[in-house]
Amino acid sequence: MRMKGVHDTERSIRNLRARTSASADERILEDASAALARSMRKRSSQSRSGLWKRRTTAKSRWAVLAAAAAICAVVVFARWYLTEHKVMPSAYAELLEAVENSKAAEWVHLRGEVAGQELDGWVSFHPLRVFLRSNFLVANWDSATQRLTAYDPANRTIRTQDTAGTPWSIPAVFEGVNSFFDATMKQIERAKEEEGAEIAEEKQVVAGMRCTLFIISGEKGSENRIMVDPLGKRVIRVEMVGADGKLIGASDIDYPETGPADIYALGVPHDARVEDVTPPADFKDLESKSGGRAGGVRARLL
Amino acid sequence: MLTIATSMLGNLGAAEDCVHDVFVDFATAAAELRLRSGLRVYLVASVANRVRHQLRRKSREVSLADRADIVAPTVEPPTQVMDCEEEARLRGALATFPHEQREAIVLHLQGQLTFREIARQQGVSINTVQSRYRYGLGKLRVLLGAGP
Repeated sequence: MRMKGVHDTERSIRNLRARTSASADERILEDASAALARSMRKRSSQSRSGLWKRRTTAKSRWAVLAAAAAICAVVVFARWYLTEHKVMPSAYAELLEAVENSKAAEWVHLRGEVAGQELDGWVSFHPLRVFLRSNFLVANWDSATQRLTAYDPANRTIRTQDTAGTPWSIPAVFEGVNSFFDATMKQIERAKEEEGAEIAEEKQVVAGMRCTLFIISGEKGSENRIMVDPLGKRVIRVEMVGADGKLIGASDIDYPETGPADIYALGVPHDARVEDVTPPADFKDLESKSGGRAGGVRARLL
Repeated sequence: MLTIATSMLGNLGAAEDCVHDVFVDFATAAAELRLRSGLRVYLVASVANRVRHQLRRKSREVSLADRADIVAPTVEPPTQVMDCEEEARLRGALATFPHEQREAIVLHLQGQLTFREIARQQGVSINTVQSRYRYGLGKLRVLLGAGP
């Protein structure tokens, strides 16, 4: 059989096929699966052991900002969950359904990266409790008590303080970061008011899992990308993309049955020094009676 | 991937080992991977790299002496005989090519890589890849055209 032209030759080479055997397929699948499992275990243990090693920039303003961003991300996510929505048609209704389903979970676990900092967050909604573990900070905020408990590994100190009335008072930089997340919330709210007009929907495959992607466009080209598992109908990933197309932050989400009991469960050493700067009850009374004028006194006391 | 490895190595067993190693490496590094191109390009390039590495390490040209263990497609007998004959001649002709030339042809036709992607992979210019491809095809036509 003669080759007649270049196209015939090309076609013949394209049509060459090698067939593998079932045993070879099985060997590849087994070994690759084992390698993947080893890789995931190694990554997980590195993530745990490297928690305190990576706190090299803990004292920089940017690092504090990033930690604040991480906490805000978790809290904003929680606020979003707790927001009362009206049922709307189109993509928003599907997104709402996913949020409602996710909200039914006892705990939500977020794992990802915000502003270059790794983040592990656990949120429980009834009442709202937030745990956060970042590269150099472990924190817990409880809406019922309004107490923030934070562990700083630099001085091995756990500090507990009252956040009632001043939810973002911990570092001043929270305000700047919070405005960013306020903008995000406004995007969602606006999309809701306009009956899904600004929510696009498409199918995607993320980490081998088919999911529905909802894109909420911002005013200046930024986007919130929310991925929903079409089977479980729950949110499994949230991404924030800047106007330049760069990923600002992302969180993968799963739904564990239980969350951490306290910050010690997140690796904080039991022998860490404890500083409770929560004002005593009688001081709180004095503060409310004086219309907050005791704030200065309180600051000095702290 | 197996077809590409087989075409470049000329041996099904070695090709299976190659694809096996690529998948195991991929699974090991999957969590750390940041793909600049698509997954298909990445995997095809991984096969090509591993083949090249294997050939360098052994410092020998792979002959098609053991090509008999390549499993032929399951088709009707008369076609099978014809296809096997043509396939064997094609593989035999490819095996006589320098590796870079064979790689350009196989990656473009079987791996569906563009000349630009092959050039990046081989660390040469697009013109070089196109020349290798064009001369390779011409040579194949001569070799196969001289047959029965």
